[in-house]
Amino acid sequence: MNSFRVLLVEDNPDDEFLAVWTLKKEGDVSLKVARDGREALDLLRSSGEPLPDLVILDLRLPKIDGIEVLRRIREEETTRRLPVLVLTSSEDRGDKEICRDYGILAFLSKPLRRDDLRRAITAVSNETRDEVC
Amino acid sequence: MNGSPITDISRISRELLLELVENIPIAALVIAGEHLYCNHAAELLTGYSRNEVATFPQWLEKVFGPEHRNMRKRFEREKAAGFPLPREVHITCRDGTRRTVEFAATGKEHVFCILHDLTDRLQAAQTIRDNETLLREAQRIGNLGIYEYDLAHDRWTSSREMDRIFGIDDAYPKTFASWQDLVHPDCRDDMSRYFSSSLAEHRWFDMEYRIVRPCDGVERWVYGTGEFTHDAGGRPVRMIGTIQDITDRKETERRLHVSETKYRDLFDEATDAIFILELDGRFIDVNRTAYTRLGYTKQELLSLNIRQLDPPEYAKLVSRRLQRVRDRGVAVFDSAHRRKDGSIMPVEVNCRLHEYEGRQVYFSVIRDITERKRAEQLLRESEERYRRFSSLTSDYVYSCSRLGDGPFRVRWIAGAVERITGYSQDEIMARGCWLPFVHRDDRKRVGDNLLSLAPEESLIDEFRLVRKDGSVCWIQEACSCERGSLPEELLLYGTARDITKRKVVEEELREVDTIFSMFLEHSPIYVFFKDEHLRATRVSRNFEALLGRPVNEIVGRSMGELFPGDFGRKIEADDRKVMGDGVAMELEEQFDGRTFKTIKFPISLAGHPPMMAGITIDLTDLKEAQQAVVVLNEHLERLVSERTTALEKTNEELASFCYTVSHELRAPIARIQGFCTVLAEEGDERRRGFIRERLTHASRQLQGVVDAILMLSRLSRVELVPVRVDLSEIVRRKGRALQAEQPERQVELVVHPGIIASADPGLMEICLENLLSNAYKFTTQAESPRIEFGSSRGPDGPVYYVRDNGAGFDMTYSDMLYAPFQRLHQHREFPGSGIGLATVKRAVERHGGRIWAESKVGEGATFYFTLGGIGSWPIQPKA
Repeated sequence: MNSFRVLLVEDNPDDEFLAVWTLKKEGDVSLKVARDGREALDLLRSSGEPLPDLVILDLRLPKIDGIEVLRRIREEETTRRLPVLVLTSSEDRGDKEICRDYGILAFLSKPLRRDDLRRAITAVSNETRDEVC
Repeated sequence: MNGSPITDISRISRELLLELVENIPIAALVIAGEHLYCNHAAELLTGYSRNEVATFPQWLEKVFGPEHRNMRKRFEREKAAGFPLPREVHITCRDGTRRTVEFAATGKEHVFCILHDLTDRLQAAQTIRDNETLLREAQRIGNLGIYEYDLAHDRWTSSREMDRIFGIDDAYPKTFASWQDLVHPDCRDDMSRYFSSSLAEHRWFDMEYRIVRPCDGVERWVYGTGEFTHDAGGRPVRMIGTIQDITDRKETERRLHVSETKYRDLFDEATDAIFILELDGRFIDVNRTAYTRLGYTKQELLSLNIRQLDPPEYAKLVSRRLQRVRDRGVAVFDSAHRRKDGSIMPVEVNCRLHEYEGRQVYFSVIRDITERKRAEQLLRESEERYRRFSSLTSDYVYSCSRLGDGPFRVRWIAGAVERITGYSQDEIMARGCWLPFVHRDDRKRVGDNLLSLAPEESLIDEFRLVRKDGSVCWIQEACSCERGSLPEELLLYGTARDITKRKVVEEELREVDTIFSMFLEHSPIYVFFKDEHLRATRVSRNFEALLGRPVNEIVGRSMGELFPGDFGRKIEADDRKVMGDGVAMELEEQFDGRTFKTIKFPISLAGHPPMMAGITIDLTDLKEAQQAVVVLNEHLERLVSERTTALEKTNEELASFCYTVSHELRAPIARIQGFCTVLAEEGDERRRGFIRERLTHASRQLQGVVDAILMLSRLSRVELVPVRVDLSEIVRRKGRALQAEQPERQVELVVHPGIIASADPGLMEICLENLLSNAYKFTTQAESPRIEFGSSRGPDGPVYYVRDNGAGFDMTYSDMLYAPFQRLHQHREFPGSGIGLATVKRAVERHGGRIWAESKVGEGATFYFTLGGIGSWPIQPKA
């Protein structure tokens, strides 16, 4: 079985460290990190790369912020159905509603908790299996 | 012994006896020693049955109660004596009633007792006794005597009361003749006849008649009744009857009759009509005056209701007045009654509430006031005539004479002199003339004028005269002088007239004119009057300024002369239209660059040629002011809208700031939480060291955020104290400090000297430190870092700048520069609180200045700022 592909979009190195640490604990995870919104979108568009199974997205990002990144992901035909997990320090209700409207797996507060992550991975895996069937 | 007939008879008779005793309706007891037998009647009498009272002592106890022992003793005594007499005893029956019983007994060994109930008989006897007493008493009180007449023997007997009424005693011979003697001589024959007829026709004797008492000769009225009893043969044998003394009643009746007759006469003969009415208006009685005056018969009037007499226009008044009578008992008012023939009679009604046969009625005395009303009317008419007549004579005439240099003396005087002066003709004659009454201020002039008169000369003068009551009147005198019949004699004939009213009107007119003149003098409105030829007759003073010539040069001139060219002709055309149509006109006019509103209207007064008047208001200032208000309003609206926008922006910023702050506080906290989790699970000591170091870093970050927020907030609140500040000096100092912090870096700092500003030094320190440290930070990766501080001249004053050749940024994102905690660069490249530029912007804006930047990625950045008018809003309206 191929390892679970995750794209982490995070500009703060400490937050990146913590998220990566938690992801690694979940076993076979193939991880890519984008450090701002533009980099994330570029990575998703580059044709040579396979799409990740899950995007973990911070909202406060340099250059292009997280909500804009999410909007563009949902705009793009290729990334429209990509599972996104929002991970942020913000608990702004407005943000939360906007994200929900675009369609996300969950809106989580930092730091990333292992059980939250596991639940997300399970949900994504089930979805994928459904599609296979 | 057996079968002996005697024994049988004895046995049979004993049984019979017992049967008899048991059944007789008389209570009976048989007592043998202690044994007792009581029959059925005894049971009924006492209410105790045989079973209840088997022994004699028991019976005694029941019927005598506590007395039973005494009664037993008494019984034994009586028994020993052979029961000589019946005894009355009182027994108590079972139902509690007390009864009186005659107790008769006989026998020795066996005692036979009869109980005879006396109770009812005793009660009947008592009732009879009571009735007899009552009857006697009733006769005495009712003056009622009783007699019985034995016709066969011509004898009558009488009760004591009857004797008392007739004034006789037992010695009086009581025969039919003696009764006739008692009857008053006047009616003796009548009574005899009546008696005989009653007797013959078997009728009741029932008659009131008079008697004369033989004892004192006093006359009394009696009421006699009698009933005849006849024998088997139909012959009357006895007469029984009563006699009642009715003298007092008869006397009362007589007096009443007398007084009623008197009252009726008075009632009928009264000169005023009298009504006695039910409270609903029905007539009870009226006197003769009443019905004759109204033209009815008595019966006709009595069948009417008083309301049928009241003319409709009086109905309300009468009903109100009658209410007053019911409330207060009496009222007097004028009204009117309609006679049978329909004519109306004015009346004065004196109505009072009266007790009549146990109820309340109106007792009204009605006076015909036709004559009074007519007299009143005549008096009013005569007064009116007198007043009119006397008002016509406002003059008096006189004749005076003087000899030589002597004064004029009044010879005769006639007319309304007393009404005008208050002095009688005699009083004036006595004073010689009326000069002494002339007002002090006018007296000398009047006197001199008269004395200067030569023959054939005449004079008209007006002067004030002090009336007798002290008031002042105006007199107009006209007189002419003639030569008299005596040498040196001059005669004066004259008339005098009271002209006070005219003078008062004149005075009032003068006052009004004065006020009007003052008004014209000071009016801010142009006021004008023109005559029938459309020439100005009177204008307000302000026309002088408008036309540039004095009022006396305006008055009398035409509009063509006063106003130039077309305008003058237009005014004249308008004026002619107003005069011609006779209606007011309202118009707006332009003259001398100003706008006027004019209202002109015709005036027509009886006996005067037509004229016109008008007012003109200068609207120029008003129009300008209105325009100014419009402009000001527009400006204010714009201002309000600007401020509203600013306020909305501030609110948005505040909301966004709060969001940002919460994020910036949460981020390090979340990090600390995360590292703590990692620390708890990480065994590798080297990595644990790293995590501890990151934990410390995160908490410092938290500290930094809190400090930055406090700084930003202080920046907004701190009081601004602008002084002369050397910005170059501050930049140099800050540069040295930064260099000292990072001695390994080689940064070229160019500071243009002598850049001075009027600003708050504290805020400038913060502002320049941030800009400078940003420049230091973003030149880290530059090949040869260079930072420049300088100033240039801008349209709104000096523009200051800090320029570097560092990383620069994409201008696309320049909007995010000044929002707190926004970053254009990845944190790891250029760490910082993210609040520096927000702080600079706030500091600059507190001075009324603004900040902007120019940059390109990789080509450095320049931050410009100004320090404009401090906290000032535009207050001048924009042209």
